[in-house]
Amino acid sequence: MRSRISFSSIRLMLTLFICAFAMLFMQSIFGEEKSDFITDLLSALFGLSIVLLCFVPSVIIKRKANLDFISFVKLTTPSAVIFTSSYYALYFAFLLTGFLIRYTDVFTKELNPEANVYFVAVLMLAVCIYAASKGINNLSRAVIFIFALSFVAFFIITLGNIANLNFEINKSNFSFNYNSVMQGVLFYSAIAFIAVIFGFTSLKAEKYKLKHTIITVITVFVAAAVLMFFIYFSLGKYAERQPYEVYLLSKASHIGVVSGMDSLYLAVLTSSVFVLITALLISMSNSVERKCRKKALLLFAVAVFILFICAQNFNNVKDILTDYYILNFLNFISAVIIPVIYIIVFRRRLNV
Amino acid sequence: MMNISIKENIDKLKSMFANSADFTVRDMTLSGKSQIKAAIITIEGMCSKDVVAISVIDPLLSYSFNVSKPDEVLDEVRLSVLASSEVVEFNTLEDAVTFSTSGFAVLMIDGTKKMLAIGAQGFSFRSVSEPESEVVQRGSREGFTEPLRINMTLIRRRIKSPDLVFETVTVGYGSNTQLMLCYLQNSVSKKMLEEIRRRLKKCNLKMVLASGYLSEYLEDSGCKSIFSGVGISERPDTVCGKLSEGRVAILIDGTPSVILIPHLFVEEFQSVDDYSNRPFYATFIRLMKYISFTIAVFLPGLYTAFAQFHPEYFPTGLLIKTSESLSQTPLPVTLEVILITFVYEVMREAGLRIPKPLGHAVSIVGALVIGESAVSAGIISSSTLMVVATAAICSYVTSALYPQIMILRFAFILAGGISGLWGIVLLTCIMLINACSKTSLGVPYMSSLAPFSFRSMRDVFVRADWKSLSKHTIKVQKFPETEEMQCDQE
Amino acid sequence: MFKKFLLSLVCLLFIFLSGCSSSKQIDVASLAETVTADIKDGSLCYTFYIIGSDEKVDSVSVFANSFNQACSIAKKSYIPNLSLAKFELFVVNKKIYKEILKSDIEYISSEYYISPLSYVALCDDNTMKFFSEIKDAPKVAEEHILLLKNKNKSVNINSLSIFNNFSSAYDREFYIPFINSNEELKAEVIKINSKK
Repeated sequence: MRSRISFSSIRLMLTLFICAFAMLFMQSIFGEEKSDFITDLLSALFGLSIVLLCFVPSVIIKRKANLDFISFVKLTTPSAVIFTSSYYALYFAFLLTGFLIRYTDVFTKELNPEANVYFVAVLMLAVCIYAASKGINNLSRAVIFIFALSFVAFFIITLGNIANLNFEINKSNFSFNYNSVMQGVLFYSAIAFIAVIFGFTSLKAEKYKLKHTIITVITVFVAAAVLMFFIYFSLGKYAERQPYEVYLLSKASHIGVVSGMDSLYLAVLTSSVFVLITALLISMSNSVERKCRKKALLLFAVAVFILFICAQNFNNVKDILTDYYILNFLNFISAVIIPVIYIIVFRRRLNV
Repeated sequence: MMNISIKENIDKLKSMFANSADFTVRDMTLSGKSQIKAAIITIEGMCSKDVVAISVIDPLLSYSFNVSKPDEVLDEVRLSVLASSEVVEFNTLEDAVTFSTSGFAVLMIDGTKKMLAIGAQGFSFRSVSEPESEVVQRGSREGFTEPLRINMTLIRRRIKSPDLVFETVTVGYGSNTQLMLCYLQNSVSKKMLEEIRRRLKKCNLKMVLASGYLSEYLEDSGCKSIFSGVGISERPDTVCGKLSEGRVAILIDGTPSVILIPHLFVEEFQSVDDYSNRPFYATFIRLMKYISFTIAVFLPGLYTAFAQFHPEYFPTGLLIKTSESLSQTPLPVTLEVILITFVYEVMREAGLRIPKPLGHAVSIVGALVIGESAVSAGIISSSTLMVVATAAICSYVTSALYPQIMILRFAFILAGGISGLWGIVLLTCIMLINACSKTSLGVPYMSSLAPFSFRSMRDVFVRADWKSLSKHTIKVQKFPETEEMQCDQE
Repeated sequence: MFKKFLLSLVCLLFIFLSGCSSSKQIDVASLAETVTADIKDGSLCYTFYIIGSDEKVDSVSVFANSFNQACSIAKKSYIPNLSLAKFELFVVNKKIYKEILKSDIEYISSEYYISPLSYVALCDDNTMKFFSEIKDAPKVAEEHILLLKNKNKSVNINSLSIFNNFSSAYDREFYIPFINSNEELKAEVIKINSKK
């Protein structure tokens, strides 16, 4: 049963943090361009500042009208909401399929190459549909436990690599490389999708304060910085040998003779991706009428799965869905352009 | 319909009871101004013959009535004759049936539709003893029994306050089972109470013979979950503690299990002993219960997942032993774990149902069959047996959650056997969402944990000392995000 | 009701049929804990030591030019269920380390299932014999390596640190363990030049 009661906005922010955390755990820093710690740190700082800016329109609507963006759309343009909802449905489908592809990529490249990708995707979608039918409040309650697990895992994975720290051999000289900076900025600014999720799920979030958003983004930055620190100074060049550095970090983590922390990585990655996909599904379902939500969820999931199958069989489709340029472009339109248009056109309704 | 003729009424009652052998009628003529016929109706075995004879028949027969009208005679009987402490006046045959089957002696007087029900219960019942399902070390040894009045007394003795209210409700159109809603009027939420009454009215069962019959009607609709939002207790001290937190207890005639609602997840790990022992020890026991619950649910599934998909996670020594023992058995590890768990459940159920003299035989057979012989014969491996046995022992630490643990254990074994650690994580996410979305009378089932309440933590994972606990009395309706009772109207 | 039942049946079938295929059961998996690289009959020989409960040493020797090739040949021809997920120790004969150590470490670093913390050491001919004759030789070797590390913090004992040293932009020298057996097994340090 969906809970219609208000809940603490801190929990909503925690949910968004876990969504961003999922991105961090699936990151592949050493793409085509080589980089260094300071450059990546600056990229993260710049990218996450963009994320913070993307929150501005939704925060304005929340603070002025105590509504989330989609409720504001329904209030101001009840007849035209279908057009806005359709656009956002496509946007969420793009996001969701992209994250599903990234997750199954990590799964098959690092965790179990023999796993059936479609099996993983279907099961994940099925579980997330069930969770999405319960609503954002119930998801945010479950996030408390997932956050506790993620916190412990993060702690263990990073501190377990202290013994591997070697500043002498792993020192990275700062060298400004435009392409690698751009790569980094594109990755971290892609996290701006959490601002769109905020715009679709914050209606019942009570006692919202701007500092919650700022603290969330800063925490994401700190988590990213810590991970980067250990990737550069514990793993060093070893991290360039495999696509997913955080997985490698978990494999290299040990406390005394106890190792095998990659099991924690699997647990945290799966649960945080579960939160991410569920939050996207909830955001999509919030844009339709209450009566149609369950049907909309199912139809949407089927559409996402079809898109996923296409991506697995056609590399062009996969490249488009996982391209960070397109993702950032869509994030910008969805988080900034469209909400700003609504704010400007219906600014009087904001103060009612 | 009642008749003023006593003969008609008795005949009607006889036909309603189909001339049942325990339906007893004692005819008499009251002496006085006019010889009025009267009759006392009892159900044999329900009333005490001595009490009826001494408090009802003897005073009636030895009294000389100065009034002649039947109504006035009845009033005089009620006010001046009877030596019983409980006398109720009524005027329908249905009430006559209800009272007589509840152990009252029903007095009819010819010429009036009114009747009197006189308290004279004398049915045999089990004496107050320690409940076997909730054994404690330092608490009271009293437990509820089957009769409603005894249970009410056990609660009233502990809460000597006019705040404590008992409210009668009848459910079951065939059994006419009496319930008592029990609450503290200054602690309980009026809305919750109203909602409970509404849900009990919706109960359309013919027979209500145990607390489980009502549990499903009391649960919040739309919240199908493996966990139960209705608590059960057989201890008066536990019930009194819950009443002070604003909960409602439902006593059911004929069963010692009392329903407590709303019911939360964290309560499954609390017991009376926690509040009798020193805080540090109570905290240790609490934490141990949480760890045991986790082991009971996850250990067989994790073992299956690691043995099936991730053998590298075993330490080398354990890996060698486990691999060696599993290689000697014919079944895949998933099937083996499911088989041993299933056989264990069969043994447990057999142990519950079997007559006590045969109980020793079952335990010997169980130990020999499952333990010694099956391992020696190579049917099952010793490592799997150890895992299942450890999980089984851990599940008894929180025996109230045993049904849930059992189902979840099987589910996790299947998940681990089919898709490894990943499957277990996904199933955990489902379980979390399921538990977090559950409510009990609008109160989130996972309250104190999710939604997180820092103040409640002093009685969740730890048991703070009484000075801290007494500073704030937590009322269940004040938990964050408690919903208005609207979900049933969806 | 019927629809729900049918849907549940289809889901269960899908889960059962799709899920179990990628299992690597503990009782059939051949987990190689130690791999040694030696010269036998003039050719490079990789020996995989499998974890087992037998008292005798359970090993498979494969002639190959590299660790990568040796793994492929071993899986194809000798041990189909070979898994390096429990790989803990890589020992190379001192005579041949200059030819193969760097490339083999690079191979180890590229495989997701091999732990970056797996120990790497050089040894002499006598020590190689210990591995082939004594079951507990890898454990003893690991203990000696750890003791060496405790005494000398600058020695690089795992593939992670050795790879990073090899990958250094500058020509540098670093130390790795060398297990010799003049009288008893003993771990010393040996200097390696990253570019040679």
